[in-house]
Amino acid sequence: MASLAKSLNREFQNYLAFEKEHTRATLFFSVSPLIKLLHTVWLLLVVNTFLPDPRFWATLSFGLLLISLMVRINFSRLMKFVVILGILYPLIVAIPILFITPGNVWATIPLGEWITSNPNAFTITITNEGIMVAGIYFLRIFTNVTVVAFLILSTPFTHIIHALRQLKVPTVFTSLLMLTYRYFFFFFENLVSIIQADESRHVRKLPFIQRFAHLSNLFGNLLLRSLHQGVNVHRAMLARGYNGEFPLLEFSSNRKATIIYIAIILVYLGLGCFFYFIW
Amino acid sequence: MPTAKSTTNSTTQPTTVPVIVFEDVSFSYHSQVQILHNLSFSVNQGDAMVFLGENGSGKSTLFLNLLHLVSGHSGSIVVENLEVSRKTEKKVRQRVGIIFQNSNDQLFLPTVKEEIAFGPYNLGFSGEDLENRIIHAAKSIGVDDILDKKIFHLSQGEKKRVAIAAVYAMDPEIYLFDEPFANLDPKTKTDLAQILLELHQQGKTILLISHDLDRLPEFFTRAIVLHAGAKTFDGTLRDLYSHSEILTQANLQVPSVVELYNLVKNKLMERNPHLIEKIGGEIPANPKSIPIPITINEFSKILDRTLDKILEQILEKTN
Ligand SMILES: Nc1ncnc2c1ncn2[C@@H]1O[C@H](COP(=O)(O)OP(=O)(O)OP(=O)(O)O)[C@@H](O)[C@H]1O
Ligand SMILES: [Mg+2]
Repeated sequence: MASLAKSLNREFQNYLAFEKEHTRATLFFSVSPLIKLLHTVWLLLVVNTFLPDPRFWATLSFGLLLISLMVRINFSRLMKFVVILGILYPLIVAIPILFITPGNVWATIPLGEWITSNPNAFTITITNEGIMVAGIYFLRIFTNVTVVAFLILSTPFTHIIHALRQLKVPTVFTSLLMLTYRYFFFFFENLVSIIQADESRHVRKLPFIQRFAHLSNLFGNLLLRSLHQGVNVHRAMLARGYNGEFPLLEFSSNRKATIIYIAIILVYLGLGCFFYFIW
Repeated sequence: MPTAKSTTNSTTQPTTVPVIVFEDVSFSYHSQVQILHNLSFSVNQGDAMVFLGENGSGKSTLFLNLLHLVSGHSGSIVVENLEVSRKTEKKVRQRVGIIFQNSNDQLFLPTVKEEIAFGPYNLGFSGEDLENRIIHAAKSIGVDDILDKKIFHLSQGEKKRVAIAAVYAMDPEIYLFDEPFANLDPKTKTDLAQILLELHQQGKTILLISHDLDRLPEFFTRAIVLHAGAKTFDGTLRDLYSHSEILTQANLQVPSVVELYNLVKNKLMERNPHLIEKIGGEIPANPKSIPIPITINEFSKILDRTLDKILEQILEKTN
């Protein structure tokens, strides 16, 4: 358990550290973060509001994955991001939808019979509608995650904060974002140390109820500890004169790259309109 | 100006301008429990001062109050003629830099370079000026070879250095160190002591929290002891070492050199009380007036004198 948590933590830290070594060398990296951010927000709006069409979602996420290969975003990291957030999370939420949506029966699982060998025990039914709704839901989240991952893995966190400030997002929100970001680091680090400390203390397995009470205790401890560290970080920021801004070092966005980026957006916009309205 | 002069010659002659004045300061967090009790003291420019006290005695809380990182104290805290309050906190924080107990909680940007840039950037530096500040701080504190590293990948010792460099880059007049020696290996501790010495020689005022009197660099001459949030001692370290009851109350031990000195002295007394009288110098007969050696150097001199005297006596006898 501890070693699993440890390797999970390492993965997570690495992946939150948003390493951009691969993208750094490309023109894409020097596109103005503001434009990238605006484009991302716009894509999210289109996905969720203007064009809630599963065929569009599928095309978009597939297209983004292809492009990320071209601009040398670290592909394995992108896949992890997309898999963890974009597949696991919606699966957990989407699976119940499979079962609870009423409609034409697609399959019946005699779960009760398997367990109790009583033919009258409860059964689970999956409906066609259930499959549709769950599938759409899954695809939607998957697309959203891909869009966000595309921005995050090609843009340092401080650049995103800076862009948000350019958009006049109040410092309260950018600070909150920054602290949340740090909070995740703490959360996982503490998770590892708490599990390790706990395992070293328990040689014998506790009975289930005790184990449960114990775990909820640990979890409370984890939250408190991470929160406490969050407060400390905020103090450290204030102590060095924090006023909502972070320095952008050795980075000036490249006008040419930005123009190319905008041009590409316009081209696919045009193509999109063409297919949508004329076809 | 005392500051201009002090860069070359302040080790021996600290000026007597008070830069920090606490007057009757009390503080409690949101709860009813009072943490600091009517503290009064002042610190002069160029002082190197150590805060001692048991765990939970309020040392870190005192530092937080000094920078107005917690609010609601009663009494008055004045830093370089500024009364610490919400209004003045920005200016106070420009003059006072703090290195926290746990470097993990102090570093929040992805890379070392960004971390060091943060402070001077907030002071308004940019472009080449900012770059120069970063390079200068990194070189002075010895982190110039890890500038591009990710904070997450650093060792504890490196993190501590980065935390110091990040403050150094803002060039404050006053440094607060909250248990800087904790969790460091001996070599890194020695390096850190060297950094402290350099800051002291530049005429900076240094306030340091510690539990380990052995590790304290020699130029720390003054100590304040807190016990349960109240001041129980304010004076020189040399004086403090002869007040064992205060040390015990604060869960402290005298440094090994003092212990060693007492051991040697007692053994000599047991064997030959007259010898002690004859030695004179640093081990006089009357234990009350003993100036306790607090550095290895001082102890070594006393030991030399003692051994010489003993040898002298042996030779006299054999002749
Ligand atoms: N945010 C807080 N809210 C309430 N009480 C606090 C808070 N932070 C610290 N305390 C309490 O204030 C007291 C003094 O804490 P402080 O951290 O200043 O002690 P310290 O002398 O630095 O101890 P240590 O040597 O362990 O670092 C402790 O009893 C602690 O529990
Ligand atoms: Mg403390």
